[in-house]
Formats: sequence, C-alpha cells, structure tokens
Amino acid sequence: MENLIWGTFEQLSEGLEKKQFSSVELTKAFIARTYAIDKSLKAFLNFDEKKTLAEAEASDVRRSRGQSLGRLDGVPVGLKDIFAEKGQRLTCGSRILEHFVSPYDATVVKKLKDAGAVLWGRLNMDEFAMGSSSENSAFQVTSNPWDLDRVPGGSSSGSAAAVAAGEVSLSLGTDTGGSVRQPASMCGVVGLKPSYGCISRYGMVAYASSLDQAGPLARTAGGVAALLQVLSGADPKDSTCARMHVPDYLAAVQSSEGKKWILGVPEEYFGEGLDSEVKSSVEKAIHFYEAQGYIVKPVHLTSLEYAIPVYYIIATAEASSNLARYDGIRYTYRSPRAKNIDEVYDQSRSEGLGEEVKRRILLGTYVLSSGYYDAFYGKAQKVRRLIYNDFMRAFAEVDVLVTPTSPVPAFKKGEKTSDPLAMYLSDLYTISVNLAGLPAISFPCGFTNRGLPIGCQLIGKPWEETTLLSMAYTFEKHHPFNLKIPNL
Amino acid sequence: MMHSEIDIDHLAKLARIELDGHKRETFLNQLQDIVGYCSKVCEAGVENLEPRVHSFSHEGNFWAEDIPEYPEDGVDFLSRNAPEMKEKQIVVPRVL
Repeated sequence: MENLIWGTFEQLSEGLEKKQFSSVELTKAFIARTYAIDKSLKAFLNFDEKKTLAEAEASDVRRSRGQSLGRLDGVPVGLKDIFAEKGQRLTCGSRILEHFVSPYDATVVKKLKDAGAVLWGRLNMDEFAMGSSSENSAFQVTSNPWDLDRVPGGSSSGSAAAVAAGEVSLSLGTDTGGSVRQPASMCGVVGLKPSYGCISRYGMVAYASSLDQAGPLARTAGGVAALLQVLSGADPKDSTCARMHVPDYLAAVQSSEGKKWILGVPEEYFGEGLDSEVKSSVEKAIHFYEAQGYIVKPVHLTSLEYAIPVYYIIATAEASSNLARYDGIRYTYRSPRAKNIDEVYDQSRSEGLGEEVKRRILLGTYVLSSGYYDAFYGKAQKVRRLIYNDFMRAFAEVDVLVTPTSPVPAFKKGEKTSDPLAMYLSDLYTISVNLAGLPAISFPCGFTNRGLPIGCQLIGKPWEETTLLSMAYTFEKHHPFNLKIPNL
Repeated sequence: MMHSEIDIDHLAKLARIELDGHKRETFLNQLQDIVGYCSKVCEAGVENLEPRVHSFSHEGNFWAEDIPEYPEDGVDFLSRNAPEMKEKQIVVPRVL
C-alpha cells in the first residue's frame, strides 16, 4: 500500500470509486508515511489519528451503500493550522493561541466534510501567516522535502511540504502575498491563489482581510481543480465572498486542452535579482507554450517596483487592527506575571506573540498613526489602484501573464532570518496579485542542478481560474516534474 | 526616513507591546530600514487616482452584513478558551 501515497488525486479518487482500495487503507498509508518521516520534516503541528480514521471508515460505509459524496469522498486532505475545525486545536503557529480549541467549523472545513474528505492533521505555518520560510512558527521549522537543510517556503509551509513528501494527498493553505504559491514553488507542487472572493474566509484566522484568500495545493492541477470546486461559492457568513456560479473545474480543465491563449511576458519580472536557473526554466516553459501554438507577447508591468512597499503598508495596517483581539482576555494565553488589566494586555501580547508579528504590528501602527496616515496608508491605497490598472492594461492585450513564482529556489534555513527586508523581497513576484485580487497558480517547471524545484507562475484575469488550471494541466502532461518524488 | 521620525516607544504603547532595551534598538533599526524602503510609494505618480481599498473584481454583496451562526455549545467552548472563567463569565483583573 506504500505506493498509494504517490498516486495523483485523479488516480486515488478513481481507485476509491472502483474499490481497488478503501479510504481506511489509503488514510493508513498516509498516516504511516507521516509517522515515518515527520520527525525530520516537521510539516505537522498535530493530528488526531482516531478522528481521521473514523472519517475514513464513514466514507467506506457510504461507498459500500452506494452513497458516495463525490470525487473527494475518502481522500485525505491536510489543513493549514489557520482554519477552524470544531473540537480541534487551532494555533495559527502562535504561542498566544497554543491551547485554543475551535468552537465551530470554518466554511471551507464544513464544505470538505460535506464532500466526504478525510481531514488529516494540522499543518505548520509561519505565525499568523506572516513569513516566507516557516521560521516564524512558534513551534517548529518545517524542512524542505528536497533538501532538509532548506526552507519549504511560507507561510503555508506544512501544506506544501506535506503534499510534496507524500504525507497527504491534498492540502489547503492561505495566500495573502504569495503564501500558497511560494511554498508550492519551493516544494515542487501545484498551488492556486483564487480570485479574491472565490472562497469563504469565515473561520479562517484573519491577517490582512482585504488580501487573505484560501488556496488549494496538490501534486497535479487536477487535484487543485477538484479541491477548488468543493471550496468555491457564496457564503452568507462572509459578505466578501462572491455570489458566483461554480463550474466543474476538473471537467472544464480536461475539456479545454488544446485551446490556445495569448500569453504576456512582463519584462520587469525577469530582471535583476532573478536566479539564472529559475529564469532558464521559466523561459523553457514559455517556449513550450509557444511551440504548442500559444501567442507570446512582451508586456510591461512597471508598477512592480511598488508592490512590496504597498503590500507591507496595507497588510501590516490591517494586521495591526486584526491582531488587537489577542489581548490576554479571551484567547487562551494570559501572562502569569500580569497583576492589573494594563499588564494583562501588554505582557500577554509581548510573551505570546513572536518577533515578526510584533514587527508587523508596530509597522502597521506606524503607517496608521497621526501624521503618517496620508503619507503611507493613503498613498499606498492609490498605488494599489496603479498596480490594478497596470494589470488591466496588460490584460487588454493578453489572456495570461507568465512569470517566475519566486526569484530564487528554496534557500538555506537561517539565511534570511536576521534581515526581515531581505525575506520580504523573496515575495516580489507574488504580492501584486493579492493587491489586485487576481487568480494565480504556481506549478513545477523544472529543477536546479542541486535538485531543488522551480515554480512557474501564471496570472489570470479575474475569475479565470479554469484557464490557469488548464495551462498547468497541459504543461504537466508533457513535463511531469510534479510527479518526481523526493528522496526522504 | 530619519531615525528620529520613528517614536518606537509611542508605537509600542499604542500597540500594547513591551520592548526591552535590546529589543527596542533592534526593532527600531529594522523598522527604520523597512519604513525607508516603503517610502518608495511617495515617488509614485498617483495624483489623479482614486484609492483602491479592496480586492474585489466582482459585483460584490460587500455592503451586506455577515450572517454568523452561534453554535449551541458556543459558551462551553468559549469557557475552554478563555484564560480564566468563573460562573460562565470571563475573569479579568479589577479595573476600578
């Protein structure tokens, strides 16, 4: 049964449907794999094996009665430790929520349960989704499955590493500035950041509410499509969630093969700071599409230089407000030193929150403070419009933009921890997408000479997830980098 | 951006975060670098642009209120999560 863990979502779903194996057998294979390797990988923060096996057994019973709930029924799915799952711990990678137990299910969790998915484990992350390497988790640093001395990317570090390492079939992360796509790129899996409003944020711990979006990860574009289909759609509990028609993404992806789109290549994404092997691999991917009959055109996105400043002004401003709720009163941690109400607030936050979170709260407080609001926050909102307009101008000429996902492959642990600004720059190519609310996907397009995965990013027009998934699907059929297995 | 323009002690007070001497200096230096980098937004020519305060690309229903649901056992769960409870009330230090 060990080779089950390397099956693609399509193979596993079909195997379950044809009763070639049961959900319990499949789930046990992933559990065994997790026990075997997670002491060194550290993708999981915790798991409830008994609960998970009960869900697998229930799936098998449904199937035996001819009452299968669909493609996802019986398939194990991992959750970033940012989604509320009733009765399970939710730490968000933070000491201040270390013992928090979710009182209800997030909408995405409810949808997964309704689809029969088997929820396997809580996956490590940078604290409150603030980070690009997992090194900001209060509990552990996840390793990259392709080189344990290197980071897996972040903040959905465990979500990407667990899928790449065969600990789970599919996973869910969140993407505020690249937190699904960048770790997907560094771990060699497929990760999608949907259009803002595609997936409900109810029950997902807030970092920067105007940018946060949940996103699926899998070893294939088909797996991502299947998960997206279950998760998308309106939710009365989240008014920012669009009232949209949810297509059959997987069927649409498979049926659209052969369709040719116009691709835009923004020159600004291929300049200084881009690793030469990353550049070469992405250019090969562009040549592949061109050879398939796609039209490739150069375009310009000159606002790229403002992306990181705008992001760190807007995201930290929203974070400073969202994280004010962690005050030592309601959410599990209260400083034992505190003797009065002011000390409860100050000492609980100071002891419970990590360095990067404090840094961002302080920065957010600064850009919102009297005298600096107009110069920073107000100005950043206007530049956000400039970035959006830049994309829309490009999309008047092309259907999809092609870029690297990350300027560099996975870097060594500790390499950027003493220089926050250097860490922020690793998200250069992903951040603008969140500021504009667009969909984007990262898929494996090659490996470096050291054997590290390289990711290619496709950015689409609003609500064009199907186009992105179709293009990734076409690429992986000809270049199955996504099916390579790390030597763990 | 000048060093003196970031009043780190005032920011820490507003953010309810305690900073000791060493941390204070480290954060101040890092914030100075980051704010300096973020000052790049001041160079952008955006005089005639309206602010964009959201990421919507759809005809949103975003003026609608969220409709939350309260689980029946919500109080029990809240009890489990609050640091200190007494008779279904959250205990805080005396404020008067």
